Amino acid sequence: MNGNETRGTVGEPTQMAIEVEHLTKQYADAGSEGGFRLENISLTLPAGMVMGLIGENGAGKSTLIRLLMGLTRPDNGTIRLLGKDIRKDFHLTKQDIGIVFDDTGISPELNVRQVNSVMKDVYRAWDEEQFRMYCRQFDLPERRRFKTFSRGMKMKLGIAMAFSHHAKLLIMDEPTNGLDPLVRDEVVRMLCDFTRDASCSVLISSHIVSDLDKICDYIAFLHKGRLLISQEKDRLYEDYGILHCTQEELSALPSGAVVGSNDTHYGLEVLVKKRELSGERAYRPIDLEKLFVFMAKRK
Amino acid sequence: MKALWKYDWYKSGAKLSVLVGGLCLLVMVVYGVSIYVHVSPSTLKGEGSYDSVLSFYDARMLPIWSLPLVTTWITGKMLTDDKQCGWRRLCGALPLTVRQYITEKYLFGLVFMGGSMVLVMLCQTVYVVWLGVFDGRLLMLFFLRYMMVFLMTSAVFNVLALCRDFGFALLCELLVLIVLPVFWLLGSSIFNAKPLLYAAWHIGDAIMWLYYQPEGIVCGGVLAVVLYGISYVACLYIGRFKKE
Repeated sequence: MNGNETRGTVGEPTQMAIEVEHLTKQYADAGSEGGFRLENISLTLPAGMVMGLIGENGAGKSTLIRLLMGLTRPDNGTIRLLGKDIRKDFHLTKQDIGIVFDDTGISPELNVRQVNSVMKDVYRAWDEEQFRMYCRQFDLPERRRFKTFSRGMKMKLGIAMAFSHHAKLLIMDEPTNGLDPLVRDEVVRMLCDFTRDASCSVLISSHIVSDLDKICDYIAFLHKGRLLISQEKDRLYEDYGILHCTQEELSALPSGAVVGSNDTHYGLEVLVKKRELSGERAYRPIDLEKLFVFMAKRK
Repeated sequence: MKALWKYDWYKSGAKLSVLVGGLCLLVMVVYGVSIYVHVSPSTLKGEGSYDSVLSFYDARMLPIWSLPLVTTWITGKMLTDDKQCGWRRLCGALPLTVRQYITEKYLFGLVFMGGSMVLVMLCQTVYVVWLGVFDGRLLMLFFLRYMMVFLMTSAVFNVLALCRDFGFALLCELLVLIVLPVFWLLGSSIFNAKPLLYAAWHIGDAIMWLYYQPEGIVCGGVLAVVLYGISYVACLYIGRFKKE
């Protein structure tokens, strides 16, 4: 591992759903307008787990997902999904992966029935009954063309498609975007059911951190193309805490323990690594959003 | 491949069938009228020269021109439509490769082109048999000429449509086939630009040779197949590597 690399520490699982090593991708000149660099990303997701990918707009979440799906060629690094190299075992791997993008890419001229008919020939394990069940659950009309669908309905269709071929890995790019709270809740429950099978894993990127908090076992923070952290969610909560203190108290804290601080109306709010501090302290619980903001600001 | 085929059929099969069906009907009407008002074969007796027989193979090409022209647009139109709704995303989400995707689009277009070609060949055969001027060699040349125009137009059109869009490809076709020659001829005549006029003359000669002379038609046919192959490879390359 070189000095620039940021690597997830996700235990030592026996089987990995996602293995990414030293992944780098550069668009144009990283410093210029429109330029972007995804830098030396390494992360792993054990089978049966859910990983949430959090990052601001333009952090590289969608680029990472595009790289995972083979839509873009990496400049450097390796990607293995479900133990296979997606470039070498393209068909085999994709048969076992369900993908939800913010847009399905399906022609607006088709309707639900026709999608079902097409998908039957795309996926070996396509489950018509399940697809119909999801469509009923999401109130998707069978014969209406997609061009008449709202953004939320299109998203629901993408989710129904991804869930209906007994995938072993789900990759979802902002799947709850444009969905009302009721359907979001439904999707979150579906994801929980999905991962009850120990071999099924999910990588999900979302801005709605509260959704990720409910379902994720692992969390990865991406900021400006760099992976800040990739860790078990519970360990994050164990490792980090918020302290409310004064400027003097902050100065007294060991520098290695302080991740970041924020001046609020009620004094200083400091994110600290609990293990680096000795003695009993009154830590406030931390949430993912706050943790990300502190880490991103520090970077 | 079957899935993509279904996808394209659901997407625009019905509309295309109506359009191409309508044009086929037009072709049949043109041939029907030609048979109805034909020149009596007896007028050909004693003057069965190559040119006069050839005229029966050429006379209907102009009115039926709409059919090959429209069917050559099909692959390009499908590519543009899919580009607008994010076909790369679809390929990324489903177990589909860019090669499968482009190949299917070419095959889909070829089926319509092939179907219309079969219809025109049938009409032409009935027509020349009815008139009693059937000539296998000329019929083969007719077929080659038709195929040459199909493949050459479609080859260039598909690449332009994938690079930019259908409208751009259509505009280029319009420019190359109508606007450019008209302005070339008009401009060179008005300004008395003799080199330009000579160049137009030579180009016209070359096109006539490709279109009318047996050797030209055979060469053109081979050239069209090669060009179509190059166009397919170019589309594969664009599909894989061009950023959208």
